[in-house]
Amino acid sequence: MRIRDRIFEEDWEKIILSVRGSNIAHLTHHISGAITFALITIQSAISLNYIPFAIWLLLGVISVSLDFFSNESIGTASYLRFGFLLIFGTIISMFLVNFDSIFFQSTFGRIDIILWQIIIGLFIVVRLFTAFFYMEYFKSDFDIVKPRSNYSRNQLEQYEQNLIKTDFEFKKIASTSFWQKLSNMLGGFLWPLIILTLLTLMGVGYAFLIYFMIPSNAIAELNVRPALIFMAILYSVLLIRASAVLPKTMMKKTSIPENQDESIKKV
Amino acid sequence: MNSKANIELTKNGKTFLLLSSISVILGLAIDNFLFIIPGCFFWLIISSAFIYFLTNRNVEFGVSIKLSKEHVRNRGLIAIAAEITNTAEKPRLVRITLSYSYHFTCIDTPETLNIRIQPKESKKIHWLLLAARRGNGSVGPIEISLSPFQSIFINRRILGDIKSIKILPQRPRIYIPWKTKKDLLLKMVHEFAHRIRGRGDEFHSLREYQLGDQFKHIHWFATARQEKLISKEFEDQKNLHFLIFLDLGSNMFGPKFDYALSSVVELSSLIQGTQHDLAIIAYEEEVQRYIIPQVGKNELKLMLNLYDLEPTGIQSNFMRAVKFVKNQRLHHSVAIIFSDLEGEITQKLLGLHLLRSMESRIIFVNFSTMDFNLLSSSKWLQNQSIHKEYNQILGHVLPSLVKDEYKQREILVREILFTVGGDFVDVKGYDDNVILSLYRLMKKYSPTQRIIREAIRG
Repeated sequence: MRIRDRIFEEDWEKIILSVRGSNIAHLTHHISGAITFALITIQSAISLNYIPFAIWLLLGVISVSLDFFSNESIGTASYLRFGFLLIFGTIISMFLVNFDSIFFQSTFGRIDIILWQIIIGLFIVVRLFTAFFYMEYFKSDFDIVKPRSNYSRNQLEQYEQNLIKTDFEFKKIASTSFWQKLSNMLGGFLWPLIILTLLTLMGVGYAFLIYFMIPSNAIAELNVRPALIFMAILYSVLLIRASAVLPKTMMKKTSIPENQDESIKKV
Repeated sequence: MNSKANIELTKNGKTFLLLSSISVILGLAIDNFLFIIPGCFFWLIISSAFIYFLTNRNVEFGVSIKLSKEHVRNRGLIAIAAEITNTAEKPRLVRITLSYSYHFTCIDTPETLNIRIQPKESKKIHWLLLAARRGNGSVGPIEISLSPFQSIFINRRILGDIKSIKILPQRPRIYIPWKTKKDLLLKMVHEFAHRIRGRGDEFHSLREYQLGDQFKHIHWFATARQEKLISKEFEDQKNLHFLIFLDLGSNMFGPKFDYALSSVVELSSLIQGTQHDLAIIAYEEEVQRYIIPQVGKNELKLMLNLYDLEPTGIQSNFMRAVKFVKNQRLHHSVAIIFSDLEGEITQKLLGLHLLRSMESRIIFVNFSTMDFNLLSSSKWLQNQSIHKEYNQILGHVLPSLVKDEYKQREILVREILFTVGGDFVDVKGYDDNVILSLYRLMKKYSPTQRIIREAIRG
């Protein structure tokens, strides 16, 4: 809203209200992104992969400087850029790495490599989570006005006092706290976590089933991975179908407005 | 009450769904946890959004919106109360957003609030809005977001009706005592009304005593001088016919137009309280509104007739407005024109001579002052501004240029008005007022001032 008016600007101060805690969310988001790149770079240095080290260092510097020095707020563009940098680095690294890298396929079974991968993955998750949390509760900056001059301050005070005198109740309400918002968001992950655990267990069970069904003289090796891939494909299909069907089920349920209802009766 | 559900997987959600599936399957295929873990997290979020939808599908909310008043003056305040009832069995943390038209802006509390509602509980939420623009405003409906992942899966209920609010012209900030207002009207009557002998209060002349004259009207000093009875004669009470022309065209827009409209209302309400007649003509290319306020009707009624006037931006045609007035046979009136100095001045004031031929007195009220808007010569901007820095133009060149331009235009208007015996009045800004401006003008007509002026000329 733009009002080209001297007296309005003298009386009312336009403020862009940012929600409390947004700075913490912002900082966590940026730092987790920086740690992700730092860990990959350190691992490349430890495993003596010089070219990937240089590449990840460069990508890390680009990502961190874009995070901290551009005025762009956290949104779709920022995490797509982060994802693009991550995928780009991974693809290049997969071609250029030596033996001890987290991108070298033959070493993927090793515990230390898995630990590196999990820790880096978790930092990516932290970044994504803060991005969603920020977008949900902190992103929207609200334009509000506050009284600046004595005239407007008195006007507001008198109006509030007069409202209390009438039958129009007036009471300001406080918004929910940061922790309530966080617990609300995390609480939503409980059922999906149970579902995913069940799915993984079913995948493992499926692998065992095949392992016991195959005669022992044939390929007698327990391989869980194909079963998990199969489950992942099934779950993906389920989610895609649900996304198409669920909104439609609710739309059918919406009641017919009263006036339309009457017209149907008349016919 | 209207109730609408807005449920949709957004483009972001679709992208994430695809990305998460590809990431998990690819991660499993190459055995890399760097892909599996973020992919699973995406899955968690999307699944969580679906589960929120499934658990909240039968949850219904009751919403009622209450306004503190139906119409508000521009720059006035209005309170909105919304009562939200949670009919579900579980407590809900919901995000509530109040929709309102561009006429309003929130004070202190933003339009969106995250609140927790207990089962079967009703919560009252209040917003205080400031009416920043005049016109037909609206408040409502209320949006209730049920899940925390609205950027991926929109799950909202749109409840409540749209309530319309009339935002009337703003209140004058300068308090003018009634004595001044009365004085102004008396001076106007004295100056503009035709003088007819009769039973008024104003002194007209002296004449010889006639049978039937009241003794209290005998002028004893004159009687003593003349050595015969001399009595005083009085003027008849004369109604003035005020015509208020409000320009809706050219560059009358924004705060300038709003202030002009408020001034029209203020002046009209002053005239309405007296015995004088009044007609308001709002014109652009054609006459858009012609209002004859009835005596004794309050200001609110007048404002409700005028509040939704919007400037059109096209060149106004004053001639048509004057012809309209002629057709209505509104002769011998005091025409007060509320306009500015923008656009083609000669074209704009075409019709003044016709008004003069109808024996009307003309007062031009100018709202083109520095407080309201800037005006600049298009020729200068085209030719010379290219060689200067933009900031320099805004900061130093333009204000001085505008002042010069205004002065030139003011002189032109004054010249045109001089030919028809009209007067020019400025409303200098927010600290000025049309009644004060007219009062200043009428002071110019006062007998002492007239004597001084004539003496200077002589």
